Amino acid sequence: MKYILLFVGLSFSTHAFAVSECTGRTPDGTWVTVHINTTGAMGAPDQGEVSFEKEETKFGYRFSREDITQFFEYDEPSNNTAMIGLAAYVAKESPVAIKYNGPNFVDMDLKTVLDQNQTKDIKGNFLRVWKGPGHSSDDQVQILTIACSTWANI
Amino acid sequence: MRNLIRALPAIGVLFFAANVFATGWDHGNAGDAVASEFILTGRDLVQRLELLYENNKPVFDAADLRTAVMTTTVVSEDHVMLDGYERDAVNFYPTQRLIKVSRSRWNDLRRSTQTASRLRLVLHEYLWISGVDDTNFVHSEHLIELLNIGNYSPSIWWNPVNPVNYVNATLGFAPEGCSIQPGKFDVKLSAETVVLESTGDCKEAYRKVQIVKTAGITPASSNARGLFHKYDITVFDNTQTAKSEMTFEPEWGACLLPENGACQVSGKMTLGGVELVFWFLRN
Repeated sequence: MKYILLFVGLSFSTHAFAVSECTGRTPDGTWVTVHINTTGAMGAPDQGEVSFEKEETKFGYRFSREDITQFFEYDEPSNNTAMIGLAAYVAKESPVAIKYNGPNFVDMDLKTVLDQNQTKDIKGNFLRVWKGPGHSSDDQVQILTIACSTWANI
Repeated sequence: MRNLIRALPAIGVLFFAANVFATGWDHGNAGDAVASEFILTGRDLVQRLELLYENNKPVFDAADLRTAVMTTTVVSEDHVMLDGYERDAVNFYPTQRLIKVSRSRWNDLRRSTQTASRLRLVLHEYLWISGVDDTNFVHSEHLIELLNIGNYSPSIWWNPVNPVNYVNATLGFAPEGCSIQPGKFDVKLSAETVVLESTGDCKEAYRKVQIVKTAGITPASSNARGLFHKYDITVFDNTQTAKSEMTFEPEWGACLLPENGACQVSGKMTLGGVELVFWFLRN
């Protein structure tokens, strides 16, 4: 009986699968985007991806659950805001970090949001990511004007 | 009881894992914030002591202390015992250049209000390693009093790990009446742009120096925790053409006081006909 109750409880639990995404643009026009997926009843961070995009050139890298040391995501429906925090070290060495507290631009194109300067007045957010394979671990990109979205309860 | 017996090996492994010591900064394993802060505090003390003068004479010859800080391995353990008593830290002079720091005690010592005690402990241990008999803190107590350092939290003092707040500029060739002013950075900001521009009748000697600061996160293997700062420097001439550019990343956990020559990297460079010196000036 207790296993049936556990199964039912897990089946109806919320935040079973969420996707968080943050985007920013470097001074040279490169779009940098970080995706984080969470899975399971406890919404554990599962994997992440960092992509760099400039004109027709696009490349990136992934990091695994074991590389993520801290993660927090929350969406507040009452005022449509989101909080996202990430600290990960790719291959347990090269940093990927996000701090975001602002509007939840869910279901919107984040590049358009940034093009329209919708987050330019929000202070204190950052996206700091390693530049990827072929670069040393302290070769990183810092972007302080970013836009994020988090899809909870999918 | 049977379950407890089954769990004993796992408990043993966890207990062992929790007590295994870790080394810090540029000696050994990653992630030991206690050892890292202890070593950085030692480096900070050396710099301060080297600048301590009385009647135009240095109060303390810090050469041996500097060697001790640079060559001693520091590790932390949950609890450090000596002769059956728990201690804040122990050193293994003269047999080993090793200091063990108590993680449980350091948690209290890293409070702002414990600054004097924290510095005294660090100086005490390194003084012993350098060959100074510091029984009953007789020397460390006196030196910490002379330094008269205000309370601060070690967690913010070395973040960024390579602070810079001042840049001095000198033109390599400057006609009379042409000069360039120094600039300031705010160490609390992770991004800022400082522009230095020559003034006066400079003609071809005119230079504009643009310095863009960005921050990165210290990689896991560095044993340091926090941010580091980088400076992208571009020097323009009188036609606004970029004559020279480079990226400068000040040395981590080291001073930037070019006068005393104590640092491996002084922060001094010449770029596009402008001599730049990056400093961290204490308030």
